Amino acid sequence: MKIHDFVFATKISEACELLRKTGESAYLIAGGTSTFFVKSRAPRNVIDINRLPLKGIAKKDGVFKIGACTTVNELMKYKAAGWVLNRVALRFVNQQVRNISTIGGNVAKVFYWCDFPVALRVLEGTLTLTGSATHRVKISEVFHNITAQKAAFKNAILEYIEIPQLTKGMGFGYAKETRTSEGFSSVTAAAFVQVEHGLIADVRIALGAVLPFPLRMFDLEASLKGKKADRSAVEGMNFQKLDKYNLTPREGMTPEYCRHLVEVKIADVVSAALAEATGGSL
Amino acid sequence: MMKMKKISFTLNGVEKEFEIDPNERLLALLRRNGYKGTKYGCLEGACGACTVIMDGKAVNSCKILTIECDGKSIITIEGLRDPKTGALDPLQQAFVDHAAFQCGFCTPGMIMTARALLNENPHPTDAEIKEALSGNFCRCVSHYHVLRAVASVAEKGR
Repeated sequence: MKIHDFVFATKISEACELLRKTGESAYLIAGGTSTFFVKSRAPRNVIDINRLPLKGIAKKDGVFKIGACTTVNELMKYKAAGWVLNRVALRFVNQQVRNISTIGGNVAKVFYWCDFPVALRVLEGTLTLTGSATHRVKISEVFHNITAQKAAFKNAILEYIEIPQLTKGMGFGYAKETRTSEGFSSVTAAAFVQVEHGLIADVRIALGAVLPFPLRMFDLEASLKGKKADRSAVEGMNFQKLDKYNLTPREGMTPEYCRHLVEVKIADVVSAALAEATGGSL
Repeated sequence: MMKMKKISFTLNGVEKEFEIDPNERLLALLRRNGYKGTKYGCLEGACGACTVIMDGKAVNSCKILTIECDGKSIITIEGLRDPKTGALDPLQQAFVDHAAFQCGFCTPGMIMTARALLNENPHPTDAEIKEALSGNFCRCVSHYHVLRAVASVAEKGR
């Protein structure tokens, strides 16, 4: 990326104004790692929002409110009952990158198809965006096609991400398969389950990396709802429901291996979520 | 025409001012100014050879835009030595004592990552040391010696 000018925004309103004024050449950064992946050499006017008060995690009324400029390392180290994004953060590249990369950058700019948004889709997270006005959107409204994703972050600043606190009877599973510990994702999968009276009352499964967007596997979810919350539910999963998705193998993967890995990882995350929800191991 | 920017930050405990191109990465600025212990490695944040400590955290200087360092504190491998006595940092000494290197190219990055870890967590477990160093590559496979060196410092004072 070619930087023409660089400004530290001191207020959210100032950042919004700069974003509006500079138009197409504006480029928002927080940690700044995304600048590495911009191939275009067109001069950009960079607006750094990393010094705005958008850092940290607060818990209120069963909801975690995460500032967009919170680093991945802070997410990893945060401890609270029902907090699960530390598991996602732990699989994010390496310590040095976690110290500078932010959750907002991951959601709005870099590799949104394979890291936090996959988890946020099953947690049914919401995003608070500020442009000409402030509004809250469901992550599912942003991550379903490229047009929606681009439109959401054009002329708007991501301020907060909110996710519910997991409580008793709920479980979360996350897996990111990479060729080396800090490599790019081959397959990312996440699952959320809620168990009531020994049955799967609610289940959400999302898949990333092999798809251009983190998508919910609604058919697969439907086939699990109401089933007994034990190993038999996982063993009986109907993976033919995946046939309709055009899975894209990442580097070094055959289509057969890609499909196999997707099935294994989905089974893993559903198993992990069920184990957590039932307080045991499957 | 890009706009040059004036910035200042604390480098190894000394306040410094620079006029920089906002496109420049911290690694390039450091080496241009003689801090050559910080190495050019992969230049994409994967190998850890360029690791420095920024405001107490290990970061890849190849990924940091220099302009983002304005007002911050940066420590390079040259800044670990005691400025008065010239004595090596205990971690540097431990690397020497445990012969925790072969070619030595990755060593400054390894030490800076481990120093940031020990500053934050003086007595990490072996698993925590491994996790912290997972972003530092060594083609000579010195990792076992590195782990012993870091663990030896971590165990002192237990």
